[in-house]
Amino acid sequence: MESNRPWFGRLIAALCSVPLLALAQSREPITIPIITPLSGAGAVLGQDIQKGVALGVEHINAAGGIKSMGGRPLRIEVVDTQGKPEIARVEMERLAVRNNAPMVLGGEISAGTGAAAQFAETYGLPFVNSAAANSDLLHRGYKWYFTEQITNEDEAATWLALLKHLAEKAGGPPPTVAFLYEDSPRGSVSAKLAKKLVESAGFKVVADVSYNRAERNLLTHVAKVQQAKPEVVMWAGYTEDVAAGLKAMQQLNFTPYILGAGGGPGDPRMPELVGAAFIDKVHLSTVDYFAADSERAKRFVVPYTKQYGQVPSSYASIGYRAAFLAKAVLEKSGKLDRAAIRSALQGLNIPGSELISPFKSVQFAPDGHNLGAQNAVTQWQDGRKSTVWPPEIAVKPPAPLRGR
Amino acid sequence: MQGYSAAQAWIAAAAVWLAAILVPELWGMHPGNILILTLLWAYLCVAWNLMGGLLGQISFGHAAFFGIGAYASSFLMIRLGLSPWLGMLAGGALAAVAAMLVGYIPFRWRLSHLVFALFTMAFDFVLLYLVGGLPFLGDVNGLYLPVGTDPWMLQFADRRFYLYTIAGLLTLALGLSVWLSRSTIGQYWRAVRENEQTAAAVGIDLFRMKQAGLALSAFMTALGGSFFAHYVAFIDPHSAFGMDIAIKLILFTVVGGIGTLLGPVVGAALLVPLGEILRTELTGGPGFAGVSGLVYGVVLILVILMAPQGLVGSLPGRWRRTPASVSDEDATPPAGVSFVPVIDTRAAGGTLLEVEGLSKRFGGLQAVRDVSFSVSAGEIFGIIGPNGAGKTTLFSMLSGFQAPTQGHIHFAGRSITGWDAHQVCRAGIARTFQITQPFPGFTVEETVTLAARAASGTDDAHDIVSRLLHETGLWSRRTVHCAQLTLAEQRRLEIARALATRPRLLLLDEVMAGLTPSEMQGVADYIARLPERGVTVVMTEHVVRVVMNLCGRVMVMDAGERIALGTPDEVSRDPKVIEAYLGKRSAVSPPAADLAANT
Amino acid sequence: MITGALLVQALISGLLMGGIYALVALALALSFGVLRVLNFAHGDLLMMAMYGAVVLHRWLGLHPYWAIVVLALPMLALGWLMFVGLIRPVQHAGVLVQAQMTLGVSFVLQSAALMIFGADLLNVRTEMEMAVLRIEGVVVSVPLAIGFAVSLLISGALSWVLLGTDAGRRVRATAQDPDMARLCGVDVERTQRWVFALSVALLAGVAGCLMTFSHVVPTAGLQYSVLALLVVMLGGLGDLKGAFIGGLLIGIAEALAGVFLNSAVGPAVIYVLFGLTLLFRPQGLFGRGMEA
Repeated sequence: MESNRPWFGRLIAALCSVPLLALAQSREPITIPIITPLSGAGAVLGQDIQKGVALGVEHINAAGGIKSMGGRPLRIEVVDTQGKPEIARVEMERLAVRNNAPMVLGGEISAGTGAAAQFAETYGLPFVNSAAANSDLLHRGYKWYFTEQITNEDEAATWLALLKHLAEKAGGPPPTVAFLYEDSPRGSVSAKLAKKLVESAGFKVVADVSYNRAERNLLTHVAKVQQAKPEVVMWAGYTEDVAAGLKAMQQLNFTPYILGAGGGPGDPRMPELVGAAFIDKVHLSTVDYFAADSERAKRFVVPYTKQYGQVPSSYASIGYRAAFLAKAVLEKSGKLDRAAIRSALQGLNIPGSELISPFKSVQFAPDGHNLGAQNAVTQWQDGRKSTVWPPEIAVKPPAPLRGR
Repeated sequence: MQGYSAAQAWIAAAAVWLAAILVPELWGMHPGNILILTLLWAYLCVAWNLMGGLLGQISFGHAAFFGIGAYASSFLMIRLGLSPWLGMLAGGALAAVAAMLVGYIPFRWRLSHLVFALFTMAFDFVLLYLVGGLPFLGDVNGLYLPVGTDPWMLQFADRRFYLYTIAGLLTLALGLSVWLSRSTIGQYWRAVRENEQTAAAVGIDLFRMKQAGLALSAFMTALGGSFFAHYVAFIDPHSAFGMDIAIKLILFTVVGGIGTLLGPVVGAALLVPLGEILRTELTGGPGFAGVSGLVYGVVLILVILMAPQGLVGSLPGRWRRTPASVSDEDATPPAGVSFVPVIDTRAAGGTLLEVEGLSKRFGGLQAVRDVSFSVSAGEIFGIIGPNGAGKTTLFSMLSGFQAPTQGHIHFAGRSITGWDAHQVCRAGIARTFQITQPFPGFTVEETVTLAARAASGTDDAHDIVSRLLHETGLWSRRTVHCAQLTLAEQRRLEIARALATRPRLLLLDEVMAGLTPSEMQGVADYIARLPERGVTVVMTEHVVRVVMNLCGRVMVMDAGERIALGTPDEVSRDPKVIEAYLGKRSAVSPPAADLAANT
Repeated sequence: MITGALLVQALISGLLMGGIYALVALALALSFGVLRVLNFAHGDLLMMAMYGAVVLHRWLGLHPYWAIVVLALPMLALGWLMFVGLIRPVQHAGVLVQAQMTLGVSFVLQSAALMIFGADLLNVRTEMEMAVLRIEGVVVSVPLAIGFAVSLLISGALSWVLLGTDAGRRVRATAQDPDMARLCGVDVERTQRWVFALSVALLAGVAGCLMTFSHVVPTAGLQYSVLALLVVMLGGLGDLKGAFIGGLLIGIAEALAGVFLNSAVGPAVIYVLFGLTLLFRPQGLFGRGMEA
């Protein structure tokens, strides 16, 4: 049985090379991989990113492909990591060595992004993250890692800015604040950073409650928050737990002003899951990297809605963004050399007007973070999600904190 | 002695190294990486199989030990700069200690295998969430390990060395498996797997064996966890303690063939690359996700349907294990009636067994109530009574399988109350089981040899084994597997097995049940000669006639109590005895008629 | 700060949730007790039933409670087929092989759900979803309370069948000693087939109750499988009363952990509880000793 192993190796080799060979003979598209969890617990992220990517590639190629390279079409290979760091690591090596990928896009959760970044560094392979918000990678001195995505710090700063704005407009004593968050890195890091900022800005934090995303019954957690009687709840979570928590709030008659973050509060299906009236009542708002109602997002939102029958989630926007980022980088570098791509990334400056995101620009700092990254805050008003912050792209003003 | 085949291990190791050297040369480092994961899983499955296959203890929580290894060496490297080569060993030691803590209760209290399995799983879940709450272990964010090129720090610029490292670990694990399976300890482990009760009855310390097996398996698993952490260079609670790790371990091993040497390797070699191929090739467009999992699941179901014993387990016998060795045909011939001089007859005539006020209560049921009796050396002592009289419970207490609720047992001047079965056996009491329970996968000769070795702790058992086999007429059947014996042969094997432990007291639990009259006579004749050879006998029997003929004294029990004690004559005239038999069980077999026939 | 009101709130909502866990566990305990097969696909079968309730709502506008009635039969058939096609062939192949088989089924069901329904979480919006009863400041969720009642009802009906009918006696005889039952003229295989089918059909009841207030994703199965296994173990292997009370206890423990603990460690509580229970009652809360 053992002697079969090389045979397996051959089979793998054969299977892996089939699509590449087939493509090499056609119009020679440029293949850029994106790593993302298509299956497993993080599949929601990957599935939506895949849709966004497909649309982005379609638009790019319809508009003439990569012009600086003779109009070669772009092809984005969606690579499933199942959200597991070991697969992210193996895939980075495969993409770097076997597929000789010029760069890799990241649509991965933070654990996989962390593992992948290590090996991008080892191989000198540009790795551009458009999904994970964990900022700790930026402090590790990587040369090949770039993050287009907002970071937890950006998120916390936006949270605070909006909170201050609301407090000022309301007048009177500063509002009391509670933190509620799911305890994976996504929620807990944002909440911890924000808590520090909010406290140092003079707000009183009256409750700090975390829960596991898998928790089926959030009534007690929410009751705990309710007891502290906060005016504002800052809530970082995913769709399932935010939906469960909102239901609990409704049952407990607990209607604070909710400033959310993470994929949950901004999920376009939230009214479907919880009911639009209550969402309006708590002014559910989200610090988000995507504002579906903004003018600049229209070129993505309209065809997406037509094709898939639903408003794109923020996750879907990552896919579309990543495709266009890849295009911009390739246009600038003009060749598939990794060093050239890295310098193209360093010199990149895409103005906000060309983006579908609320970012001011895409422009990378020496540590790899996006200087132009900027969050929008969207708020559910009258059953629709409207961008209410920052003022320069806001469609509507945020609902007032008091006097409701 | 049976054991894994060394030849198979050599072939497997050669194949592993051939693959490790050729795959990256021929196809580069991506198949190389898949090979690394394959070999890592093969290694982990071999480690799990030591426990699950050889010793028969199924753990659902090996991810706990994997994670302990991963976190220990990562932590020691990041915080103290300790080389992972040393950190690995520290992690292994920590995992072994944790394993013994986890195993303590289920093994000490002999809880069912399922409870043990779920207990380990609960332990893993506790660690999964606990580590997520410990900031010094990076809480839910996990730990990043520096990526460098220092081999002392388990960092290889040439990535093939990762492959060689895990190939080396796997080779060691295979070698260890072979060595262990062929060692005396390995024999004991297999005996425990085949039948825990009989294993304890021949003097094997179940608790220590299981603790040792779990600790060893955990140690090895932790090494794999360390390797994983340093290879991926990142570790977080879910990748270290996730439930899917344990699921995969069991999956690969069972698909390959649990309890075989190559099963874990074959299972991993098949399923890891299959999973990888499906993951990379069946990704498809939007809405196509899940196909790979579907195909994987279907393949799994088909394999299990077609080869429920696993791929290797379903191969012809010689692949599963080495053939049982057949000892020389011209071995020591039967030595007539002279029995092995195993017992000093010092205590002859004196009291050998003294039972005082023994009681056993199961919840509301009083199985045995205040029973006292004593047995002199050289006696054949019978215990009879209707069904449910408490005979078997009494035997279980005498042989250490159940602790009495009250009362004392003295044997050869020592109190043995509350001793474990293996201790009782080593003290010189052997027992047979009512439902014959040999080791199904052992041959007759192996079973008796094991008993002779385990009880005495010596390896030289050749003489006593061959004599016992000749005496019990099993010599010509010595290479037959226990499961294939006839009932009469199984009864004789039980006696041979018990005698092989060189007991001073033999407890015979219904050895006649189901035998034909002539078979019964043969066994009875054999028992009758045991006291001459220094073996005192206590027997329970349904066939009252046999007891009355064989025994010098008989105790009668009913409803957990002793109702009579005396010579067969005295007992059969006792009105209480007649009532117990006639009054309560008049309808069925005629024990009372038996009694009458004997008076 | 932990107040009395909060504790009572936690106890009640934990108890009600526990009632639903109890039914999941009861179904598993039933099939385990009679077949001695550990079904790791138990949670995934539940997940399928939950999707079934979603589909029925979307297509026909059926309320999840009606879905219980409609789904019971297909689930029964699914269980019957699964037993005949997959479980029966490996019934004598050892616990591990059976566990592996059911894991294979779990992979297939989970992947199929991902293919058919996508990774998005799906739910059913009902009028009563947010309805609550307020008693002395304690909030009782109506769908949870009804779920609890449905669970009690089904469990009661089940124990009536087991204790009071001939079929039930056959089931109990098979559970106690299949060989003896066979000697007494019980068609053991038929009994096992129907018990397995029934245990799967019971999940329709759970699914209906859950979908009135919760949601479903393709990966939802494993956590319910593990939960049910622990509860069955906690209550005493194969003991139905134990499984039911074990379910209630886990629900309460989970809710109390939410009150007292505020960290990622919280979910560890039920596993610690499980370990401690075994420490003091190795045979489970209601088990009568386990010699497996």
